[in-house]
Amino acid sequence: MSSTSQEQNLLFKEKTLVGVPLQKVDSILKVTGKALYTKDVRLPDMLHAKIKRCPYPHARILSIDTSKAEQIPGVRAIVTGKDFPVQQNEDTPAVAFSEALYANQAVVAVAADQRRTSELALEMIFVEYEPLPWVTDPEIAMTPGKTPTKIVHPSETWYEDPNVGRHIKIRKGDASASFKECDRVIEEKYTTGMVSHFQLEPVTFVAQPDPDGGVSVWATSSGPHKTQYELSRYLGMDADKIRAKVPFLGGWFGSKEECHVAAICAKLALKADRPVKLELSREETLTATGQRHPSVITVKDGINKGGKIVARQIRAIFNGGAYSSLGNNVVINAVLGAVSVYDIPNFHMDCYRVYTNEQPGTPMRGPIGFQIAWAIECQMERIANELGMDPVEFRLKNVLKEGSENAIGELMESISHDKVLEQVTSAMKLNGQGKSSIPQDSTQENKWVRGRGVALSAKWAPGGSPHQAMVRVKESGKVEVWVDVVENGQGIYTGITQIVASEFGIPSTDILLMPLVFGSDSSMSGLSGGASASRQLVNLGNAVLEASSNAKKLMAERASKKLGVPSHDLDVREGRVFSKTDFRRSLKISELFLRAPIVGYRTVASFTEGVEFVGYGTFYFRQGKLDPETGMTIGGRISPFYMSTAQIAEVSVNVETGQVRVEKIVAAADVGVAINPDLAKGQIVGSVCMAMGAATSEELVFKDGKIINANLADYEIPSIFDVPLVIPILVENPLQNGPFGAKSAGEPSMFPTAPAIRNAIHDALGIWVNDLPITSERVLEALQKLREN
Amino acid sequence: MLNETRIKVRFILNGESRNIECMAADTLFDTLRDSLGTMSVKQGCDFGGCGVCSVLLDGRPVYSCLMPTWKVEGSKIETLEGLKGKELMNLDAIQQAFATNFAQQCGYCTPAMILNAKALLERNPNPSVDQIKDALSGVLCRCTGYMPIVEAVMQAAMMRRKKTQV
Amino acid sequence: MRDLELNMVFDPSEVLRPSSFQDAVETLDSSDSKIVAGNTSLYSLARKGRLENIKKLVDISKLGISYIKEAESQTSEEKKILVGAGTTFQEITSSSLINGRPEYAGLKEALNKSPPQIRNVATIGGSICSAVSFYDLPIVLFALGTTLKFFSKKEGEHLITIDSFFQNPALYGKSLLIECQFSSSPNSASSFVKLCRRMSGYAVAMTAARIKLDRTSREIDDIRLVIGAMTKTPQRLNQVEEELRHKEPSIETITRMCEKSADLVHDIIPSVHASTAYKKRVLPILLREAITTAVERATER
Repeated sequence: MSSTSQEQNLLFKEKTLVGVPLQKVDSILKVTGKALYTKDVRLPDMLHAKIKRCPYPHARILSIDTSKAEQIPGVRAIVTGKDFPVQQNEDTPAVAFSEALYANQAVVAVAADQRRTSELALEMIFVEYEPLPWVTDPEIAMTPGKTPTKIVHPSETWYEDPNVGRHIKIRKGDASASFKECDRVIEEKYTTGMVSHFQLEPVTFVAQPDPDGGVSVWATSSGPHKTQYELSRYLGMDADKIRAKVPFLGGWFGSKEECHVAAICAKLALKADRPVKLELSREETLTATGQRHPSVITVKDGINKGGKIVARQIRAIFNGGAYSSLGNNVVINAVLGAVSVYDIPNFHMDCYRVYTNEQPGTPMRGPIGFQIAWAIECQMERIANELGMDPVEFRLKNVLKEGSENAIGELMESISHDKVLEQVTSAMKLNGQGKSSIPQDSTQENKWVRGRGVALSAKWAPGGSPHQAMVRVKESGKVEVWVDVVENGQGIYTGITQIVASEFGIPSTDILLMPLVFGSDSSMSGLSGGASASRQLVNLGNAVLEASSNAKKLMAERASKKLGVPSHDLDVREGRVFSKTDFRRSLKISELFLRAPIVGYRTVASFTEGVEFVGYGTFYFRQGKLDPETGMTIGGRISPFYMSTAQIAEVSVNVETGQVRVEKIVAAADVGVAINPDLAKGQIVGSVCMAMGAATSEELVFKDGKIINANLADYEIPSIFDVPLVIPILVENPLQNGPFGAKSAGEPSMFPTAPAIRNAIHDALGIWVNDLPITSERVLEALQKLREN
Repeated sequence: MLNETRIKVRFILNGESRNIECMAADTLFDTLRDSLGTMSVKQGCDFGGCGVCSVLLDGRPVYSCLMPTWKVEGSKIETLEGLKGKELMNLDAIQQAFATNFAQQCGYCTPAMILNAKALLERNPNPSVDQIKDALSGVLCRCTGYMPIVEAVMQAAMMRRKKTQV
Repeated sequence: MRDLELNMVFDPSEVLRPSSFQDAVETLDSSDSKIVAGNTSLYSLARKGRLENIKKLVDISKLGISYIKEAESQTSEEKKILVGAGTTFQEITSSSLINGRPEYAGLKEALNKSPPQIRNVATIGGSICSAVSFYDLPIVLFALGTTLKFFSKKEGEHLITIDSFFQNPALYGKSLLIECQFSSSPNSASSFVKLCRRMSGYAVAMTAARIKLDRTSREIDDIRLVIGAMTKTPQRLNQVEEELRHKEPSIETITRMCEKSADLVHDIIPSVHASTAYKKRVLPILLREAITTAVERATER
């Protein structure tokens, strides 16, 4: 290779958008109010649907009388449980059939010309119920003898305990034997409450009957294919006849996994043979769709003299609500969250997802891992404190090292546990035992006391579902990208644009990202797992890279003859096909196209003979399984990789009222390579603020089996006055198999916030709060306890 | 059965005179979205909690979901659709600052945030951070943690001040 | 029984626009009419089926009750401000009659707790007539010893104290609130202290105080203390007031008296994330802060 061509190739390589804080490609749409959300979809002759819901936490449905409602002018369709194929026990039915298993479960739905006509129709539908015994406490629900076994569901046959939807076991070493030999054994119980995603756009669907007997659905959903396949099951309809579209999402965070609600909308549309819009109110979104699983987690640790944890036993119980939805599946995250940070030779874990008479638990930003991280990082602080060790030093002593194996047999690669801890501690000094070095506010007679606390966590990555992409190179050198990518605000449209633009060495304006135009559409693009679990940047990023490379290959083959260069020596960048060894041998992409007029018109169109320059790519990470007895992985790892994250929180606590003010949080996260650093930072800051809400104020509260605070006055998400100063730190430890080295950023920073705040409160006042949310009342109670002792 | 009585209401929407008929129960939110197609007005809660339905009524922000349509007779209503500027791509300085400062993620609260910022800056061209927070306090954002939004309003204020100086 | 619950759909058929107080109270005669003021809660409650069937909405904007002015006959000792019931929070908080005056500092604090969208529409009359204990403004108005001017069919225009209004708000359902009057005297000041979980949220507990210091002795000459979000309707703490009257407002005295307050309030109702016990514990603290702030403000004058 001549030196000039090397230089030239370097120049080619430099034209990259990786690491550039490119303005979001959808920002203009959003600041002008033109971005289309499902709520904004309006179709001609569209009907409006409303749902009548069960007022009891558990009831047998004796009769439904719709005769009066049917006579109201303008009522076009009514559906009940009988309109749907029978689902399996664990699947949330679209509409309750013979029994409603949670308060506000759908019982009957109406579509009418106007919203108020639907409302009136609901009032004219009469349902007779027989209230049945109910249970909302998972510990009671799973204890034999405490409650009738079949109160929610007959348990899966392989579990002995009642109402257990899933039980996962990890057995590494012998924890109980080791406890006997440890210098110290510490056991604590931690709980978390039911938290809502509170995405600002409530759950909404629009369905339209298609000419071929199928149905198109616009959905607030994390992925069009997920909706398509789930609807197929709910409607008993061939998946090929279902088209699911996901326009812009007004926030997501794991919510909107409500295909059972989509099914109601679709069924009404098919029955009425007209388009139907179903908009859930905020109250319905809070009471009848999935929220974060509440949990009760006991952690027992055995520690030796040097401060090394030699044995850990975790019993984690997740309140799953009445059905599984995705819950029985995502509960495996408890394991991934628990094994990914510390190196503990003897590790036992029992994790249960338990059915109760609440709405089904659903994933929420860092699902299940959030709860586990809360328990473990609270416990770590407790141990460090009891041993009199520096909290950071104690964590570093026990942390998993690069190249070591975790408790389920996965190799820990490309982790940055030490690094993220280092970064946050150098950004904000911890005070270890005592808060003496933080400047305290002395003007207010010390009612507000400051403290700092740390937490360290790691987030797994998703695998197991296929992600496909297609790119088409045009004569102009512009590249069309066809991919089912879901933009929920994280900036993935921009991320994918930057990845493809960088691969072709062209400006971002030369990327035609089709979902930006049409929304994400199951009938237009290949499969994808949707937005869940921070998967899109890595999975779809790899898929578009493969698709790009395949398109390039086609172009190289076509150009090979013209240039007299073997195709493997050719690359495509900046609108040219060129020899990698001699850049002077090159041609413009347009030279590979022919031009001809479209019949009758003067304009000339470009085309290629034979195959178009279309490349396809599929990224599929084959997951292994956990051995049901030992929990060791079989047939490959579960999580393709892990992402390290650490935070230090500074709080002020009012000793008289127990109020907690989160002042500042330094948050470091390993993002591999930041494709767009500002977007990555936005994810960190957003996660921290959301987790701060869950830590200090948010909880859906049940009374008599029903949620009593399903409104914004009583369920309080942080306002502009409540958020702390958040300082995001990007730690870049490139992932070998990530697109340009990228990992993901959407969820990991959810984990350390709550325990860091709690540990900071301990630093300030010496109190331990083990329950989320850390309400003022809980702080005062803990203070009282401390004073009494 | 439902009543069918309509009330005639006249108002100015984004500079254009409108004559419409509404029901007594209709809110401005219903009218703007169902009858007038100004879809930038969003809905997030069941009334007066989240602020994403904010519009400007005679230059001041109100929750359109709490405003009976019959009450706006003779008023001037502004939604994001009416906001035009002379900046790049016809963007107002506030819109431009929101776009370049990553002051929106999902974008669902953005129309309301921009309108509230506009109402503030027209009265107070040089607001403090606390004044910005107060002006935006009636709108919730679940994505950004608010900081980029406050920064965008600061920047927009600066851009607007520079423009008036020239 | 089920059939009676029919038609909870919010579907009013008429908007009435009375132009005199007389016409207005006549519209209130029928059981299915409701006044619409700033409408911060009426439509939302009605749409959720929480109100009786409403058929007629009464628009009071043509009654000329949006104003804030000083009463014509003023003495040097007492200055009276008259606020029309239809005046918005925004109009009050931007008035020069309120701004910078310690006697109304608590009022301004309470008004500014609401976001602009509420301040621009919510009215002083609406906040009082809702008669709930979790609205900020009525707590301060109560502490200020506001006089309410009502219009009723029987009595025409008449004045009542806010104290008697809150004793039984239901009595005034068919009357029209037209004006709020509050007066201030030299050496007096007010304060408002609110404990909430989210800074812009509803109160978990709140207190308002108005204190008048004796010009020469600097003892507490007059004091009014009101608590909100603790009991079903706002409540005045007469006993604590009594104990503090004619006392020197030292921090020790205030603290001691406030500590007694928790036992004097009965029927404290819990809210979602704050039990009765918690509210009892923070009551003396909020009260102390309200009193000391008001005393400080009155002393600075």
